[in-house]
Amino acid sequence: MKMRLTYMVFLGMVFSGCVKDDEIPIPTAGPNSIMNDCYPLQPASLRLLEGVYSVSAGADFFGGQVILKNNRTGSLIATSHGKYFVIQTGYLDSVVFLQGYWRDGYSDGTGLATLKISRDEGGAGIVTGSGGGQVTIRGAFGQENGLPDQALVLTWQRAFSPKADTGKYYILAHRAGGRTSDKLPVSENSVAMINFAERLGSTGIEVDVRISKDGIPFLYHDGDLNIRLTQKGPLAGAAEDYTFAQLTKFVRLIHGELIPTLEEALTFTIDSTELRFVYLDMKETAGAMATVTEIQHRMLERAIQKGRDILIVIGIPNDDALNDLMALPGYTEIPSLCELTVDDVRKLNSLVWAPRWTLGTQNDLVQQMHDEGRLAVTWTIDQPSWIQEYITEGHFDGLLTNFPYVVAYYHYIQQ
Amino acid sequence: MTKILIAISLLLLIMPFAHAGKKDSARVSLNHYSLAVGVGWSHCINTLEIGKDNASVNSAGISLKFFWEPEHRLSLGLETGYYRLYKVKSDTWETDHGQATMSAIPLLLNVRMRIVDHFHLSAGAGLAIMLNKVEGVGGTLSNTILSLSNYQFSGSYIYPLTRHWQVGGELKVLNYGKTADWMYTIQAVCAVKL
Repeated sequence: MKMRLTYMVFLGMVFSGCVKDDEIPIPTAGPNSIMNDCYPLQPASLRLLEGVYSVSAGADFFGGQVILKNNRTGSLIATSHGKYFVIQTGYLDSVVFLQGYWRDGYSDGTGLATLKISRDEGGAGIVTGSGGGQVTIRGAFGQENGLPDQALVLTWQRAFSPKADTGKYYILAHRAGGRTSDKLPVSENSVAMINFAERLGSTGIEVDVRISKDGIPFLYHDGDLNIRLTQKGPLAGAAEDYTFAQLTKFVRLIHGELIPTLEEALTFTIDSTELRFVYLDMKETAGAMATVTEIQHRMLERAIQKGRDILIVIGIPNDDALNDLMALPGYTEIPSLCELTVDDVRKLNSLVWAPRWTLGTQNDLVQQMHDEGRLAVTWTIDQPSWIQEYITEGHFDGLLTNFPYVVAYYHYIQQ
Repeated sequence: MTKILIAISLLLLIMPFAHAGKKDSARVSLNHYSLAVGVGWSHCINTLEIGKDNASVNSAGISLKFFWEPEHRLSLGLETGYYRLYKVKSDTWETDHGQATMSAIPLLLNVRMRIVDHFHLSAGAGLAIMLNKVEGVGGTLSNTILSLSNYQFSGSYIYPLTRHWQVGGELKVLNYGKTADWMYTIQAVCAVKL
């Protein structure tokens, strides 16, 4: 009997270990959502919604303060500890409606959120664009797909400070906007993820660049094709061992997307988003630098033609990459991001210095970079307390993270 | 490949009978080694998400085992073999003629236990060399990947024909960690005590 039980437990462990758990479904309000009847708010009205809010009802769950920041796709409400709302806005008569979902970036928590600003609590002023001020957002949030049944009240406290509202701070998200392991609805390093990135508060992205057997740069992080990042298919081993046509034919990312070429990803970023920074993290540079810099050059020209203010920089993570870049003619004119020393930054004439965060805030060196007309960003900070410290005490121009909504909170809440 | 495996399989089945009529005077120690060859049908459980409907998952497989068989019920040995897991044809075969094949050569350390006369249960774990071949769609490429975590469970019935020669059958389940694939095989086995 004992043996049988042990055997059953063993089999249970074996099979349960194979169950994929890649995504937390996004709760939806369904086809009868009030948002279907709403009109979109004008940019001036949306701008009035932005700011720092105090939380009265719901503070035990979301903390005492939140920030609301608009982006290309909607609005983000971010908290200090990783919970965030992805919200759509609209109005009907003089009432502003906000509807969407909340997620806890550090756990599997999620739920619906239905909020509104009534006419007398600031709705009329926002709809007409004449003034925000004493805005109170009232509503409720729920758990998973359940109806929102827990009260949430947010009261506008202040606009963002001039320090926070410069629009120059770079909130850089890993892997084109988010990791597959964070159970987002789209796959990392995909065009779909680039399209999703701004919802989480990102203003820039880092993408992982590899080169196919036939010399085509594409986005993919891991050293091999695996079922963590891709749907199970007939290819295995290093992605670089295959031609791009083979990767296209036989590989799909975990949520079904095609692996994008670097060119496709950058074209989408320039044409269809408002992202302002793309960090090309070169996973393999041998023989690839010339190809990638050629695409970078072409895409920067495209950005100029489209009137887009965007940085696209080649990442230099090690000496091999540094030497590969220096082997190219006119390398000092190639926009790069150097993760090495400030001397290496000067050698390459890099636009951006990007030291590892564990080296500290290094404010003196950051100041030197600023004095030389360069930017400085650090990578990769995920803990809210460290994010807070680097934003309040550091002088970096941006921060690479897997939790951009936490960076957004600590950046925009600055006095 | 299939024809060769069938021929080997028939040869292995005939060989013991050819020896059976002869007087087998050689003495086999109770503590001895054995070598076994198995040939048969293998089936990979199709858990593919890409190319699932275009996958061929049945094929011939071959195994080779070397065992130390001491005087008691437990034996210790090494197992290898060759199995094709699946062959996936491009769903637009008419236009691009592409196909990808995944095969495996397991290298396992096995423990085998005689449960009742002639009937054994076995478990093993070890490495596997995964062989990935893509034909068409931009050229032919072969790729070798090492899978570190693999295991097998099997049951076998081995009947002694002579002091040295045995024949029987084996049912085996194999798991390949790298690709998260399960496969089972039914093989005719011919073993010789050394």
